[in-house]
Amino acid sequence: MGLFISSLTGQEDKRFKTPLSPRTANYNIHATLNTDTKQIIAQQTLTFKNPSNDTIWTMPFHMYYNAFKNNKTLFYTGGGRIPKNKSEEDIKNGVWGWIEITEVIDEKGNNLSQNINYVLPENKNKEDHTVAEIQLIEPILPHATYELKMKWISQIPKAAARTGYNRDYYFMVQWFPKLGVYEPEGSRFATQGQWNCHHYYPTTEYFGEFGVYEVTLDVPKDFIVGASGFLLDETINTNRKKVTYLAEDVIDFAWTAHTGFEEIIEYWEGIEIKLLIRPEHICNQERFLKATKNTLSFFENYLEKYPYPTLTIVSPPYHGLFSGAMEYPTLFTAPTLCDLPQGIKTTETLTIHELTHQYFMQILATNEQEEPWLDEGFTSFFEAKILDKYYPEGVVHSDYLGMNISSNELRRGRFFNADNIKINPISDFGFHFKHGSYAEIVYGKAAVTLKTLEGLVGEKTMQEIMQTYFKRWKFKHPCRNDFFDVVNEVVQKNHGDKLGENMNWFFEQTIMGTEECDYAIHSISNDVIESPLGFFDNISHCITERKNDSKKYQSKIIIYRNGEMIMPQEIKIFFENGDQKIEYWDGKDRSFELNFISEHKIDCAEIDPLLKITLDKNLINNSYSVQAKKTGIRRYFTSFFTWMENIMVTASALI
Amino acid sequence: MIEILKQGLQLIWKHKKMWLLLYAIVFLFAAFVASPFKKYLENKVGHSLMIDDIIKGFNYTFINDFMNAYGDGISPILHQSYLSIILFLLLFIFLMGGILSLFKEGNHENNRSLFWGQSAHFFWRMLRLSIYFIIIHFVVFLIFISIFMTITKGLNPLRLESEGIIFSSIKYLTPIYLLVASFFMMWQDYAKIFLIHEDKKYLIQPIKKSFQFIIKNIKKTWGLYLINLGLLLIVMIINYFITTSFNINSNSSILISFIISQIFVFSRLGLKLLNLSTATLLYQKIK
Repeated sequence: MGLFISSLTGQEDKRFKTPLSPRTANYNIHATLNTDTKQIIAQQTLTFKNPSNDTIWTMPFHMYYNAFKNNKTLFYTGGGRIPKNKSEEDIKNGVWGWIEITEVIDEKGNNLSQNINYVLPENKNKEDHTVAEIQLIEPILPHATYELKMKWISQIPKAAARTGYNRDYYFMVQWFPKLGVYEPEGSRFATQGQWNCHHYYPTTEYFGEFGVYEVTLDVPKDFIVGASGFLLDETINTNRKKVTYLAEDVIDFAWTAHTGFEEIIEYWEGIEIKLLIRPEHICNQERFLKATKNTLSFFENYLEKYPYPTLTIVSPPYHGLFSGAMEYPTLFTAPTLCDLPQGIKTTETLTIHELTHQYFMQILATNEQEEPWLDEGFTSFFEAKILDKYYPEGVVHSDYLGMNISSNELRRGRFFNADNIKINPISDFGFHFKHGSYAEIVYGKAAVTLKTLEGLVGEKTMQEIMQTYFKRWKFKHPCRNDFFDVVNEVVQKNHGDKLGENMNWFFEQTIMGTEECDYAIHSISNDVIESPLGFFDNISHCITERKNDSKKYQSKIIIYRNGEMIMPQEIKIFFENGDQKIEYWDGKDRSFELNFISEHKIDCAEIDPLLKITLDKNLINNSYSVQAKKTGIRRYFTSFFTWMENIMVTASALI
Repeated sequence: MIEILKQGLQLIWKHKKMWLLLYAIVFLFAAFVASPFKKYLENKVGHSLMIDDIIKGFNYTFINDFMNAYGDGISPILHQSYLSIILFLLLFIFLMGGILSLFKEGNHENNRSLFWGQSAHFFWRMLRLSIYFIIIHFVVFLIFISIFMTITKGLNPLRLESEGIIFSSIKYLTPIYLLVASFFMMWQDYAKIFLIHEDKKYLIQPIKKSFQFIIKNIKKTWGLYLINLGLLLIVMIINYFITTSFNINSNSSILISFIISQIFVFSRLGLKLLNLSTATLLYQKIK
């Protein structure tokens, strides 16, 4: 006999009074988790509002679990950074994952079950069943609402990438037949109305339509459940419980169930923060919560307040590391280890990164498969900003080693350490990165590019750009052109033509291009200007003596552009008497010289002294001092010297 | 034990020239590698203002950009380092015969000729002995790695309930490994002492006899070895506190730091000699 938890009725209604999004694809799902067979048996009702003037005859669905159906899917055979190993034991036992739609009925009662086909919109891999298309009998008329009832069953994959189960930990994402996104003519890159529904590739993640999800989960009683949205109902009987969650104005729905979770709930400005964490990770509870509150506070000031009433953080068990550090609407995962040194801020980094995705992926619902940089790059840019603001000691910090690495430094370093920094432009589709360097470019280069943009336009203008972009495109599907338009508009308003007619020159090189940036000061010379000697006006008068005027120097600085990328440069010149000067160069020529006549020699010069252009590959050659700098070199020399001695003495223990 | 330690200290003090010689060798080998490193830094980045930023120590951006832009030139220096370490170890093996012979003789008048003569006399046997024991050390290490990987199920997250087993394995296995490894290192020391004292052609005898000697006198031999290890640990802790007690941000502080590091290296060599001298004295006393 069911028992209704009445305390829930006493809670304030967390539903939005006014919808935040167009609510185009709305789901009502009833799913039962069978922990013996590791299956989900479900029925769902999809209510779709045609956002276009088109008449639609087909509906494509993501069938993500079919990526784990066999070893010939695009997921298994594609390149990328996700490990796809499967144990021999699982292969022998036939442990794979799949999803199958067993019945489809449209709103008129037509049975469409025979109208389902796995389609290959962009490749010829017949073994990949990650996109299913339903041929409709009754079309969806322009701007009409259409309802589809479905029954489906899925075999949960064992510890697959991002989703699945291991032992009694279930992380259920990309777990239901999910409708693609219909792009009306003129939206994003669509020249005519079209469905956007790519296969499941290992490299990139997801694109989803906004909607309301009401999901009832039937799970064993002893499981602790966490999910997108907020809890509406909970019913418990002898062995099982039913929980109903409501997530409004989101692009996806994720949930987790595990017997080993402890539930920690805190509130921040009315937002319920729920941390699902294992007892052995409780030691890092405060680190999670502090990083979460810092991030929420940052975005409240920088963009807008987090709009949802709940936020769930899942700290997976060690055996659930397959769920990775991933972001889903109002829910994200962030693994942690208590035994790592406190100076390593992995817990904070993951928390801040995944929480930032609530803004860049969830609220600004960009297409991560086609333009991954619009969420991963933006998120990495903000991750570094937040970390360096709230954790100035660095994300890798050790007093003993004198080490303090900031998040911005780390991001830049990771990008330049890529196997090939020119392999693909940032703007490329995620699954076009077939030969590596995906994360380095999509996360790293994009973040460094945005940091450089901020350096060029200034922090205040950058914030205005982000605010305008966010305000204009929240709960919609922007593409890169929409961001470029905002940048051009705000930069023009704040800076006029100072940085050019528009900023397209910047985006063409950094986002669309693969060129690298490297400016270097090649040399500085200070030559004494000789007083005039010899014949000048006529041959009757020869100047034979040097004037004893004060000495003057002709100083010259030569600068090289070593890379293909062109960036405007500021050059700071330091004279021996302490005077300083700033000069500007459009950065276009391959080399450039600055000349000065002064009573004082030039001591040193520096390109980009405020480090605005972090895209510059080599910051060491950005400055030049006439007098060699010895002290720092002595420091490294003595350290290296001592390391060598200690290695030799230590090695002698073996003989 | 205390008496042996005192005598051991007196013995190495008596042979302080040998101690200085060892230090000079370490210094010269390090200089052999570090000098080109310094030259390379001066040539490539000596005029950059960024050099001022690295005075404080580790600078991620500098190191990263340096390796990306000029890293190719570091490879020959690293190869030179490996070569130097190998040459140093060979030289140390060569000198081992002389060192232990001086400790064996105690008050020998013609120290220099004894030292060099015995070094040459025992070199090939010392070399073979070192190779045998390096193999043994490697096997011991592999056994512990195998135990660790078995307990932690190959570090496979899917097969472990929690990461606790990994960290607790490291926590418990490391000291056990150090204890076991120290036994084999001690055995190696006594094998060398037996070789010097008995001057046998084949190594099997000193290896076998030293093992029997250690087992028979396990409390004394291992106890003494552990005391010597403890002294090393104390020196390392002192060095840690001294080096972290001041900031390095000027030429003078770099110089002070370098002097402290040299005292540390000199002390480590002294402790190595103390270990050998006390083991020799213990052997002579029991034998």
